[in-house]
Amino acid sequence: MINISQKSKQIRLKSLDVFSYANRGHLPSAFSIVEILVTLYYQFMNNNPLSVTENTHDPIILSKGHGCISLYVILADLGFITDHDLRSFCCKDGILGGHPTSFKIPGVEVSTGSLGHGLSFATGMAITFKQKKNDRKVAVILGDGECNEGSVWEAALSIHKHQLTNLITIIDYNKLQSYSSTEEVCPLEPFKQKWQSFGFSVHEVDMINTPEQLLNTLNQDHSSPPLIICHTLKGLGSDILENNLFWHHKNKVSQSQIHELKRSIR
Amino acid sequence: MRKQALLKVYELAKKNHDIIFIGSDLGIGTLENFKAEMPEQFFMEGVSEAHILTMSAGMASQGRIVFINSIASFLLRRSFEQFYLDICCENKHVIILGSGGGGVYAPLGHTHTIYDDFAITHNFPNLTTFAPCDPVQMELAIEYATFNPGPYYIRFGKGNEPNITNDNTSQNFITNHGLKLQSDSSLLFITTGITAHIALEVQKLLESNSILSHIYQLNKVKPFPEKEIESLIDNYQHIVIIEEHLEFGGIGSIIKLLSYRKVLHFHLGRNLISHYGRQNDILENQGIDVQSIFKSCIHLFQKE
Repeated sequence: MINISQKSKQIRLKSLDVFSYANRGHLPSAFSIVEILVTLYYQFMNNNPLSVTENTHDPIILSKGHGCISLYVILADLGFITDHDLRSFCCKDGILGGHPTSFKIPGVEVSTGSLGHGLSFATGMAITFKQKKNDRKVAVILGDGECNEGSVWEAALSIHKHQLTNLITIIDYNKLQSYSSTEEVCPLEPFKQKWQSFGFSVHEVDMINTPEQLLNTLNQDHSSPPLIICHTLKGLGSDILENNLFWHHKNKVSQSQIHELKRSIR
Repeated sequence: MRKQALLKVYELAKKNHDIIFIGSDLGIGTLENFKAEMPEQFFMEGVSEAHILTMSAGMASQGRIVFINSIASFLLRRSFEQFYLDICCENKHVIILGSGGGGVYAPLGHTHTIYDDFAITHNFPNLTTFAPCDPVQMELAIEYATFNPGPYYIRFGKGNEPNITNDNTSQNFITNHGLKLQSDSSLLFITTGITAHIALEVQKLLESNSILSHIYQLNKVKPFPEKEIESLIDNYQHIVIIEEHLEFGGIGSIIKLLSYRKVLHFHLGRNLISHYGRQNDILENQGIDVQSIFKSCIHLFQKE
């Protein structure tokens, strides 16, 4: 059984290396989803190079594509891509960029970057799995700011209509978006009730203090489409990055700052 | 034309259970028999075109062949990004059946018409576009789209168009092909979609004035058959292009560009650019850099 805290720390440290290779990327957005990705990839979903090759896997879609650095580190750790690929992050001959491209990166189901697409794509997959009597499931990670997009709510209507209990919607509720807090830019509350009113079985998990609860929640049986609001922090796991909007678009970071960031990882 | 098209999809779906039909909120009774006989293959998903397009890409990622029908202006303009990113860039087998291409819905106003659909979709990667002129061409287009994976946009005409082609016609055709024209007054009409019918009328009128002409009708608008067109236009003294489209971005502007050979045009090509790297890397990769352009300009004068 994997230790979430240890694995997450390892992913964050490696993510800092990847960031430093290109000196760019959305670190805080990548850090807030580390425990979510670790739980999905290492504990809950059947998603590895073999199952993907055999097309028996459970797709995982990072709809908030800008958080991709930690995803890339996990894909490398699982053997989808190589360490050399990580070193070419954002380079002209590399396969990894600031947002993931499906037709370049093994293990990426659909290119994301423009927000509000992942949930609809997953809806089409989940409907097809259900129709083909296939017990595969699909998970989608949405950003909280992404829920400003109307297409997310179009997809929500559709998921309810088709009662897609094989589609797991996970929201990284870190409560900060690019400009400011979600509360200031476009308030989401009462967030849980909104999703409930759309017919979802809504759960909340404190990913800051009890990330292991996510697996328990995922393992529950759901009579209606499951949706998990994960309470996280932008930059989670680093004392410097946490809740620090200055870092959302920060690039051109010195090596000494990278070392400081590494020391700040808990 | 829409009726025949949907009937064709129904017939194909009976033979292949991976064929899915999705409508948004179409008129009552649309494909009633399809829904009754193949309920698992029939979807009516509500007024949510953007979602429907991406959802169809998700279905196609699992082996489905998805036909979507609604009013073309909503499928193209409202859902532009979903069509571009999730269907075309991802190269999914999704066929957009756009009702009301051009001015079919002119009585309803500009929210429902689309006179720039070729322009909108012209640079969509992997996309094939058809603009049939009659039911026969429509069936050819749908069959082609079903059996050749990839994204498609098919522009529907207004309906009740008489057949001017026959079952043996290839996608693009020339009327009166065998008819010998006088070389000093030869005329070629190039057209697509329902304006082929107008070209035919004009052709008849000209014939009564002893002026003979050919008509080249494009069913497949994209990829544009530029080599064929280039060799064709060299053989005629006069070219007349007729299209139900705004001036720029349709077949006319492409043909005019092909005809104007004095221009050196440095551009970003025709395909999706998905390289990472810096902006200058992308420009240089496509030959847009000082040295490449300088050399090409010098070469112009050396030739002279």
